[in-house]
Amino acid sequence: MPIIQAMDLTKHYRVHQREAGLGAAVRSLWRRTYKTVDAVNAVSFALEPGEIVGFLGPNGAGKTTTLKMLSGLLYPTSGSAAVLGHTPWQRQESYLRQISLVMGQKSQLWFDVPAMDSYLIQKEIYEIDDATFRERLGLLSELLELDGLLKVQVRQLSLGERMKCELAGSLLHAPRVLFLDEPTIGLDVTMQKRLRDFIRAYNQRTGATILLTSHYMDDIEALCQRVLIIHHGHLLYDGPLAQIAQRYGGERLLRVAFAEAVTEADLAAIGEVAEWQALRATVRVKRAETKDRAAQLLNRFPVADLTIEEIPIDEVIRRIFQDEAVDPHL
Amino acid sequence: MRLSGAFSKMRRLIRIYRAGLSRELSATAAYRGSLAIWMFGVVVAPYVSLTVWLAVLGDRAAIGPYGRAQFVQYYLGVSLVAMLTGAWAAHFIPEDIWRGGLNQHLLRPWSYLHHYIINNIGEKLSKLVILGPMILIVALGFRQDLRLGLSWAGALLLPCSILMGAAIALLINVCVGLIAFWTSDTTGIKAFYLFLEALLSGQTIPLNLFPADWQGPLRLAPFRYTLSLPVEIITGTLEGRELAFGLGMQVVWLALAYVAYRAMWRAGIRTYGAVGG
Repeated sequence: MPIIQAMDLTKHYRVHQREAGLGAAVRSLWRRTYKTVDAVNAVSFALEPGEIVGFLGPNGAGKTTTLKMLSGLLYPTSGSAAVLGHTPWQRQESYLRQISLVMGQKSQLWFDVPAMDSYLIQKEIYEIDDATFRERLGLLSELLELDGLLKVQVRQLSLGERMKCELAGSLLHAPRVLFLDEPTIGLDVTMQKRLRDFIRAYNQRTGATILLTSHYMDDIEALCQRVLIIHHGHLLYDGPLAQIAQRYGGERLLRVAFAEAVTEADLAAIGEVAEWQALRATVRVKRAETKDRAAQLLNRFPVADLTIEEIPIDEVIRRIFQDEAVDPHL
Repeated sequence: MRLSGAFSKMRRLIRIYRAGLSRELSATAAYRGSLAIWMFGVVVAPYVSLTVWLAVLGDRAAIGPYGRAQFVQYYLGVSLVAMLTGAWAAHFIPEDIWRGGLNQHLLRPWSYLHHYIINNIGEKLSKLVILGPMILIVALGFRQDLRLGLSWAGALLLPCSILMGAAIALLINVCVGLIAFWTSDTTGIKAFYLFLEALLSGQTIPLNLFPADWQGPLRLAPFRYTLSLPVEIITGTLEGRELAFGLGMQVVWLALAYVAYRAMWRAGIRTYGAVGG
């Protein structure tokens, strides 16, 4: 039975618009123009307990709005959702006790005091007894290497340190469902990897269900076997990460090493030459023609080695986002 | 079973308040310098009003019911009560709503209103430490004029009146702040509210010095009940039925302000955009 279920979830915003300049500012005093922004349109999906699912989409695609509806921050315009058997935006206490939303660009800790002060309030709000609190904090400190950070004013922490403290704070009550919105944004690669490792370990240890948005494909590839792709508020894809390339990557890559130098012009007859270095090249060919083009390469050129690869997922996804003609109902 | 549930809720409430107050005190300790300067202003404003009134009084015995001693008592009372009943949530709530700071409160199984109550109490505790000596210094300067007009009944009812005044002020402040759910600029509304509060609460001019035509509306408006009423109890100008009426009006305004808060919160949260992040 799904632990998260969204059914035709829709959110439209009404926003005030006006041209720049004094005249427009004066006119807007008595005549205001509004525009309806379709942030999320009839999005449906379901997550099973314990899954880590990646939620992908360009800026403004509707990812964060969807997470905010599922975590109870926003009322939808229409549609419904059930998370842990609750309607999120009713924000029942029993629901809020079981979820967490971490937003990489938004702090949930009080800036003026050390993180520990915020944790102590969390402890009382979620009614965590002393022993459990110590145990969980000890575990989170170990996994996230929080030693020495908890007594420092949050405003004096670096971005990475603050993010680790944010994550720890949002997990103290051991949520069964975790919404992570760009948790690694702005972090250096080492810190990104550490957080990724932590999220995986947390999922394995607790069986928590995690819905994760990230602009970094490394996050998604490291953590998610399944992804949802949203664009212009429409859900474009819901399935295994590995199958995105097959579904949307209309091409494949032939990576070839030659025994003797080959010219770029000669290779152009096989397909679009993506990379060329005399003894090494990558040629892009249509998926349906892969077999024939590979055979031509082997027959016409002094091939030392040949591999056939899918287009890198981040490139496929970039193309999906750039392609305005993608059928939203695929 | 129901009783044990209520006890458990109360225990949780007390624990959260304790942890919250500890955090608030830590936070205000970080800004103790600016707090002291701010508090200096809280004492200075009534002190300026007092010296102006004493200058106007000149050689006269009294202006209305206010002689020199009554003015001194009144404005010292204003210093103390303004600090105890003051609220400032209207300045912060719009920022929470427009910049998404409200999100962190909505995600927790804990009330946004309680957050501001804790904030209010915490800051008042800090201010007491700073403001107490300041008021004492001013009081010593006027020691020859100090007469305690407080009756025994007044002394018993004063804490209750201050508590209700603080609650009314906070709830009205929260309501003013919550207007930000529907507008992207509350500056004008806040300024208008602060103007009304300064004028009609007795902060600048004792209410019984207003013209007779004003007295009816002043008795009905909420502002008297956030500041002037407790000060009137301190100065001993309220007795019997007038005191009962004043306290009754505090109960009415407390209930009205709470109902308004609930209605605005329920309606506003449906329009909330949860911006940021």
